[in-house]
Amino acid sequence: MSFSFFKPSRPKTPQEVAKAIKDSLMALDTKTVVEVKALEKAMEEVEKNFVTMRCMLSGDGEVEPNVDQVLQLALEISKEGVLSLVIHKLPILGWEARKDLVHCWSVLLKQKVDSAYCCVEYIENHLELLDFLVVCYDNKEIALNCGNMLRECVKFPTLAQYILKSASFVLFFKFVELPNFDVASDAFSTFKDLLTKHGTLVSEYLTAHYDEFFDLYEKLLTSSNYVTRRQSLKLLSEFLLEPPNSHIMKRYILEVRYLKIMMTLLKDASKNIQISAFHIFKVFVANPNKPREVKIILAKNHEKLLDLLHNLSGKGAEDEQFEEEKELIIKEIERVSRLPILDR
Amino acid sequence: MAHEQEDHPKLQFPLESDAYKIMDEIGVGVSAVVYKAECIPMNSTVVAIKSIDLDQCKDFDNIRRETKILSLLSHPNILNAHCSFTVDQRLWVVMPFMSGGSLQSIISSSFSHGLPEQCIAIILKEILNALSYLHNQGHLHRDVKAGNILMDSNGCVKLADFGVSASIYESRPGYGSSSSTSSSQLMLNDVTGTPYWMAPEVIHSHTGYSFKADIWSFGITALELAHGRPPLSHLPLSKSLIMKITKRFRFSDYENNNKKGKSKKFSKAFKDMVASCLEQDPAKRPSAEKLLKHSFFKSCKGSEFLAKNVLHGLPMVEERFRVSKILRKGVNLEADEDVDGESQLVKYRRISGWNFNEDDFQLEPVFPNESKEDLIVKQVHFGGETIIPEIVDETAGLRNSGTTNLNSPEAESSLLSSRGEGGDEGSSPSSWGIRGKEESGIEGIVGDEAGIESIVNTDIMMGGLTALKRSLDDQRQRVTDLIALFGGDVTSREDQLLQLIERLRLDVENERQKNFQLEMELEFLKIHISGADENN
Repeated sequence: MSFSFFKPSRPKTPQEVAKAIKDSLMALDTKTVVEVKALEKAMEEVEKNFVTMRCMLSGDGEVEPNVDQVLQLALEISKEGVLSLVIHKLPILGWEARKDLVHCWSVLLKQKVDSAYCCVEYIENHLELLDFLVVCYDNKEIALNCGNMLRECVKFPTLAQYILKSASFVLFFKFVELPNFDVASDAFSTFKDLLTKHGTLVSEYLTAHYDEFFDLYEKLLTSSNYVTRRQSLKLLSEFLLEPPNSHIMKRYILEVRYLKIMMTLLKDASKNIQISAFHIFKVFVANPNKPREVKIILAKNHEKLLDLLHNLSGKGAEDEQFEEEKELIIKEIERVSRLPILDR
Repeated sequence: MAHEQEDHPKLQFPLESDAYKIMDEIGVGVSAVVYKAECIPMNSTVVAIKSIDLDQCKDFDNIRRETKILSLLSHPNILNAHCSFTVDQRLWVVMPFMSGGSLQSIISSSFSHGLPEQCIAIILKEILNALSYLHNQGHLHRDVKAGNILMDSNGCVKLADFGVSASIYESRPGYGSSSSTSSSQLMLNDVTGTPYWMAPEVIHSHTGYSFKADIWSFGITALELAHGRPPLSHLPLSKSLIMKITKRFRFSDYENNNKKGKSKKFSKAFKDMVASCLEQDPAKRPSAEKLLKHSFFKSCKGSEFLAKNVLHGLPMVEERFRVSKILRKGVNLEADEDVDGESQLVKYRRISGWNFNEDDFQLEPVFPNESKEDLIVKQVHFGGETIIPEIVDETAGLRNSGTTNLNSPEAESSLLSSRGEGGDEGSSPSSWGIRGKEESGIEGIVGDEAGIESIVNTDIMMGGLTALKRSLDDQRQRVTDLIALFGGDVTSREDQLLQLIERLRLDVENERQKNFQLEMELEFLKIHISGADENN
């Protein structure tokens, strides 16, 4: 296998490049598996065109890309419907072609013609493409390519919003626990981007789907998989404690069920998990309007909790603040445990 | 150059630990252990498994980056993973087993003075192929060194360990603007890598660095393969390293080198190639692709040559690891103590850069604000400022004796030299001998006035003792095997303790490296400040 760039035989215009890509991808349809040779030939044509596209979009290492040509190509590609074609053909493309495609994808999506992202607009009109990409996480061969393309999409609010609200979003709760670490952790980074990139969007989504979302999220937090527990816990504090989500947070910390999860995680065998759990647990305790049930749980378990907290120590630079917070939380738990109304 | 592993990229290795049978430990890192293992359902194919303790990792971003970068790379000179999955708190990365082990371990086991130039050329060419591919894909390796170059039974070499590698496209903040992915503008600026191999612009990280940082490390690796150790590596990575660099540049070193008349001669092409990699200005260093066209690589032999000349007669990788572990147990604790007490003794001294001395084939520091006098004069002058003069003669003597000892053939010499294996200090016996003398002038290994003779005796004795210890260990292993055969319990408490010590030692080493990086940064800022003062 050769990794070198072939120079295109003659410089092509963006129109010609877009057309050639489209034709070569369509040609894949007319060949059947039986015609092995013909299919190979068609595939080679696609690969050659992708290399040309990549050179036009990013230069060849020596020559810088021409900004006008890049814009033109993005425009042509969205006009000719090439984006749909490439996504649907992705599973049958070769290794290098897929990589070239992923590289081009991120450049194409960023192109702005007259203040409009033409490729993003195209996807907005063909949202099923996003569902297709999400489902690709189930196909190990192309999962990482699709993951990269998805994360490029998630950078744009309209596309992220669609995925959050689509039925395929639920699939992420499954994908992040796939046995293959590469795929699972790639799925997790996309999942994380979806929940952190666009604050207000996420807040809207969580408000509308509060119960459904946190039911599923509970499964991640209580998973038997160490990586899932640790990552999901950390992610939880990353979006729950963000200002746009403060109403969600206030709702979350009233629920005994979630308090119990955090208390379980405080006892986790992993120190990292214990500390992350503390940073959510502390909000439950520090809440000035703790519901009676929360107070009862804290009071009932105060001895065990105080033991756990005393043994917990932060690391490095965060140490001082952590100790301060810990002292406050310990005092609050002690105070709650002495409240007379809880005896009954 | 196709290798059996590459021919079947589709082979699906199982994703559960039960499918693998661990056979031997072959490496230890800060938070990882590497095992040799068999994949039972695949005809007991031998694999290497890197088991990383995830709970020791601050976050998973680095690991995720490594596995992701690797899974999108495919090159005969890059060690790829078969698969990875988690086993409780550990991540198992299953990789092809490279039976030759790392070049660093090969060197310290059998080539303590460095490899023959012909072999170096083959290795470097293969690694350049890997770097050229990597850079073309927009990735930096950031930790190129002999310890990260592995060799399989056919003499094929592969670049491994992408733990700190980075994708230059990804670290760029912001998006949405028009396309500009020209590599000239892409810069990273976090400090990563292993200090001895680090390019100056990486140490002074706020100026940013790019692909050319790998080329620097590549040049250092070339020196490492040629001399058996990276430049300056006989100095500990302690916080006074900067000052130590000035010490390394000793009158005695010069005399020594001249006297010996350089036991090894390197070709002009080789020297020229390395010199171009070690250009102070990254822009002046050639790209990997350009280096491949250098005349040094013109009439390069193939990997069979390596198999014949390097691998032949080499102990098994697991055996080498066991020996190094046993040796380190005894030696490193002492050596470490030794390192700690030295910081107060020394005066601060700055360097403004590095010069590559092509004739001596060594890397040398450059001192700021000093006129272009004759180098030797400069050294003497500099020595006068510090405590060096009194000990120059002694160290020269010691150094000589150390070298003589190293030159002696026999198994013991190779055993001895493998001491440094794995540890980044890479200290050869002679160098720590000197250190003990020079810094404290008292402690431990060397004994006070006995000087030359005593060090020779110690070394020979150590050799004998370690050889004895090794045979005892072999016998013990046999007894253990027998006990196991009859179903007895054989977990040795000593082994557990050993592992614990090893891990703690690596932790310390890690902290020391961090400390060192901060020191370097501080030093660089100081240079800047003093520069600014002068301008005012």
